[in-house]
Amino acid sequence: MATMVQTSIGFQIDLAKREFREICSELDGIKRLFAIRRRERAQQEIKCQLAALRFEEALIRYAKVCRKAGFNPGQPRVPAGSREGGQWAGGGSGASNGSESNSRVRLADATRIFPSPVMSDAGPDTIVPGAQYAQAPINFDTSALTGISKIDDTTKQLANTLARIKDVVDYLPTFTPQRYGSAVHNEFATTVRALGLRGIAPSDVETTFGGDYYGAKGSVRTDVVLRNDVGDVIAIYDVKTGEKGIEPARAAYLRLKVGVGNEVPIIQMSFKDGITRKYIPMRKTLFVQAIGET
Amino acid sequence: MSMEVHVFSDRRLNSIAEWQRAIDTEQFQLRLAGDVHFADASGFLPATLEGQQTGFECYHDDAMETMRFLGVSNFTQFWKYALGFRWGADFSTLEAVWMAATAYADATAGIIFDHEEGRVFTPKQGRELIAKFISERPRIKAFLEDRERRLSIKP
Repeated sequence: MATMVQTSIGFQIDLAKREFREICSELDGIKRLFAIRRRERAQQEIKCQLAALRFEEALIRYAKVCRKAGFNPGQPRVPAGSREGGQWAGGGSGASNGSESNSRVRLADATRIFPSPVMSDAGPDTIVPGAQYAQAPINFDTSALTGISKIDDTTKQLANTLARIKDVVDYLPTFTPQRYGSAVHNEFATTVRALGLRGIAPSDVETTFGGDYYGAKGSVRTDVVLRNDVGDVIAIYDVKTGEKGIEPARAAYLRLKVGVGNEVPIIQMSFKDGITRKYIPMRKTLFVQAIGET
Repeated sequence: MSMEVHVFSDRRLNSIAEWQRAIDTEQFQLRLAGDVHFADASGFLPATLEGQQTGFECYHDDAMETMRFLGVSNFTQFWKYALGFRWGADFSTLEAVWMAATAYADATAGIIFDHEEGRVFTPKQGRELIAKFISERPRIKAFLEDRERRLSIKP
């Protein structure tokens, strides 16, 4: 009897020891998992910081190029309410200082020096629907493709720029969703002005149409317009940071004000699902698509 | 211009002066251009915010069409009128728009639909949001100064 009890106790002790060893082994596994996660998080943070540094470096390089070309982002504008409202006022430098015709300076030098703007991973290849071109995934809808290389290449460059900007703005302290949307728009406008893409002069960013000045009755502003070599608008770009896109009626109204027909695409670049939802900036896919009839 | 809000209501204000009175009631430091004929407003509406020039595009949109576009499930009733506000990259314009929209919605017993969040705001929630915008001003200033510094670093 005593032997049986001893055997049973011994068995239970062995069982407990085995279970203890298993628990220890599982704990070690969990510890290893946590260590891996920590390393991954640290790597992610370093990647983010590197991306921000690369973007900052690119901005500095663009600023240098722009200065050479005479673009001064701090140059004042004539306030709204007058005939010249919104146009560059005095105080600019170099080429952009002076006459109205000079205000649309094409910064061709910039594109030569930086054929692949804003550290794009991709060169000026043909856009492939569904392909991803920047850190934040970009989804090109087939409707955004025109088959015209100048437009398609610009679409790709602007989408890459916007995706990178969003990556950088994501690291800013959290704003309200509305402020965050403004920050993305503001940074995008400033960067595109400085980029000097072929066909997009600084004055083609937030351009006034439908009136002599922004403030005239019925005047509207587009985010970015692309022009051909003779100065005609060949594409209109609109950035959307919110939940909703451009209404077709709005697209038609924009075309009317810009004075173009349905052959000119209105290309919407939007972060669907709301990049700013719930006050937490998330890396969302950038959707690029044409709006309205083309 | 890519940022938008809409105010939906069952009645409209008759003039800019009436709208201005609603803004003054809210004690917002916003002044709309008095020479604009509100019933025909379709495009830029000049304004000043705390003495600084600003403004936004303002449109009388088709309420039903706009609600359909935004998703009728976002609304608890059908509204007769939709006043659209559109603007771009300017930070102060955001504040001006929300002040104007909140005052308009309150004066007409309407609601505000924010395209950024894709949801409805009551005038009370609009006021709370404006208070947040005002509290964010120092961070916006820092953001702009930082960008200015980045762009003006000497070669």
